[in-house]
Amino acid sequence: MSVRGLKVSIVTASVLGDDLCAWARHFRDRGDKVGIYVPKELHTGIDTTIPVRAVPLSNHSPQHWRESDLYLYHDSAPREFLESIKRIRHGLVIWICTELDNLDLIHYADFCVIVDPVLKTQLYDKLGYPSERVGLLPPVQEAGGFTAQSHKLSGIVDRLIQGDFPEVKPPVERATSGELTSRLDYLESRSDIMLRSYIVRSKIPVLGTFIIWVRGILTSHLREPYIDPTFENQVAFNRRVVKEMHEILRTQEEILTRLDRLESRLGLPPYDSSKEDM
Amino acid sequence: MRLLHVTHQYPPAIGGSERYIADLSEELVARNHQVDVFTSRSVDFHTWRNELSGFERRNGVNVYRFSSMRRRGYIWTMLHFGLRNYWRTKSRRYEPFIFFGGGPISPGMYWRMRRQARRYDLVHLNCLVYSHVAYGYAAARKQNVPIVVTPHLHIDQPQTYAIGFMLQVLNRADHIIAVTEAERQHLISLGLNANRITTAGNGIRPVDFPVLERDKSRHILDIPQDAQVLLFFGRKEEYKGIGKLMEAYAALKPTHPSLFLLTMGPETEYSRKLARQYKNLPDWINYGLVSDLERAQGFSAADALVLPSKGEAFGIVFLEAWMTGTAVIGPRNPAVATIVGDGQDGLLVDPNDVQELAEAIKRLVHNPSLAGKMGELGHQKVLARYTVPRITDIVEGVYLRTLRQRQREQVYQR
Repeated sequence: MSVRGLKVSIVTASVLGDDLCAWARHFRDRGDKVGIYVPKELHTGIDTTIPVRAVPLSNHSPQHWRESDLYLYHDSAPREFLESIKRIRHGLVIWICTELDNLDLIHYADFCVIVDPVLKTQLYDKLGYPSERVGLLPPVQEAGGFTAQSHKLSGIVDRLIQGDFPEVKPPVERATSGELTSRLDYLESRSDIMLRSYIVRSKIPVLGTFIIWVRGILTSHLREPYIDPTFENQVAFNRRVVKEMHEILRTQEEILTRLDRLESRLGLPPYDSSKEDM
Repeated sequence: MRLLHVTHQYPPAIGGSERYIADLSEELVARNHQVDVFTSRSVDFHTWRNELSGFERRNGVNVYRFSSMRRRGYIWTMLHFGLRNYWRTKSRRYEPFIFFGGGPISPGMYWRMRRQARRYDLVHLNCLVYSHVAYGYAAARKQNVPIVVTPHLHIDQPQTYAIGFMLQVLNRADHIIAVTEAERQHLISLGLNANRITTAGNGIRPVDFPVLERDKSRHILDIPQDAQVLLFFGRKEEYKGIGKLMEAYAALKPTHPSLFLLTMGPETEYSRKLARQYKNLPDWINYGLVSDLERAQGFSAADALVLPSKGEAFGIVFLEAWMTGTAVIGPRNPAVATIVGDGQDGLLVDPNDVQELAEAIKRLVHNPSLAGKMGELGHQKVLARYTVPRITDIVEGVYLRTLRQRQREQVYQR
């Protein structure tokens, strides 16, 4: 799902960069209201629908800037201009990082986008900036390359606005077949869920036998026709599932052994199942 | 921003987490934020004895201190009972014992927060393992104020924090600030959302570390100029590894006569026992609690800081050593390994392996240029990443991001 009709503010040193112009046009074309903010009046604007304003982004900043839903902060802007990042009320802030200087305020942004993949590692090493909050835009190598960048940026914005941040899950280590067998054995041992050793007892002298008898009468009409058969069916199902899983594991081992043999015959490197997800 | 920091203790109480919140509060005040601190009146978490005054304005920070229940013998018994049975049964019924046993239990702080939390833009809870975080969280949540938590977890001691109500606070807080990347990764492995966890760290103020001349420092501390000085700096508890260092030093001394051992830090029962055991150890100078100047002289005089501690949540002492360009030897644990680059700006060893520790010391002693290079790289790392203003940038960023997130939720009515 895409988010449209956002107020977008782009804060930068100038609008000379083709990338920023392309992004601004892209957001405008998809139905967003775009404004560009620069520290000095250098340009009249990209076109009539995208105003470029040279205003101080202080407490008396333009209404469009104050009410924006999305801010794109380009690191080329001077520090005092970038300081306005601290006055943003609700909008999502994306930092456009092109170099490793002028990064003091990057921690105030919700997300950072880069074009040079090397920066991702350097941002982490130098500033401890987590890689999950860094998005990589495709490099521009040919005419129309900015379109791909704009679409990627647009996708990132949609995901962030909807609160759908990329979730990072702890790495799952693959179990060996021996571990899987022992886990299945454990499941098998737990497949009988009935409390077969449970007996109604009472320590009350004389009356105890009577209490046991009454409790037996009170529960047997439900237990015998409904509860016990239902649970017995469940136990049978559990055992059947474990047996089938044993069978699947055995088949998988055979396939892997056969694969190893084929690979060694063909001289290929050994199969690494952990690379399947990549 | 109007900020409320809630912490178990605040300086003059001594400790890493106390210093963290005080540095942060003062730096935020310097950046024109209003910071109030709610804390206990204690300087000793063993007893939670009410010693300090109810209000103090400390370097621009309003510190409100609340009386808390004294932790007497029976309270400790209650805590041990709770922990023992909680870890045996994992039953929530034992959590109240841990809550009351942990302390500081301060009804006044809770009620004040219930009444006044709404005055603040954000509440920052410091140090998860104490109970103020639980009732501070409850009061702030009741008032619907955004909550940020710095847990300061010792990730190798899950028995201290993996308790139901503490994990609940972590799960429901708006944002969590980890002090090391290892802590952040550990929190992610507990199932917390990675986007709600930011690594900041502890910071130091470079002005606290005046440049001292090594020769003068050695002269003042009565250390020969040509000695190769190993420094231990920290509370002399067994888990800090001072015993292992003494063992390694005693083994190396006969073959390395120029070695010299300087130990600084508050004495404990364990350190007194060690002192009796090693009373004839040559070239060993032992200081107890030292002043800031003596500390700086100690770091300045040393060739290497050796701290093979088994329980460091962060290890700010490594940063202090680097500030004077001193090489460090630390424990190979996840928290320290994210600060000290093994072989780059320091050496990491198994804190239980005296042989490996001795080898690391020998490596630095035989190669002073390597030690100097490591100290210099560490110095650059501190200035780039671990100063108080740098850490405050990250934390202030977390605050603003959290507030914007809250605002967005209201604007988009999600």
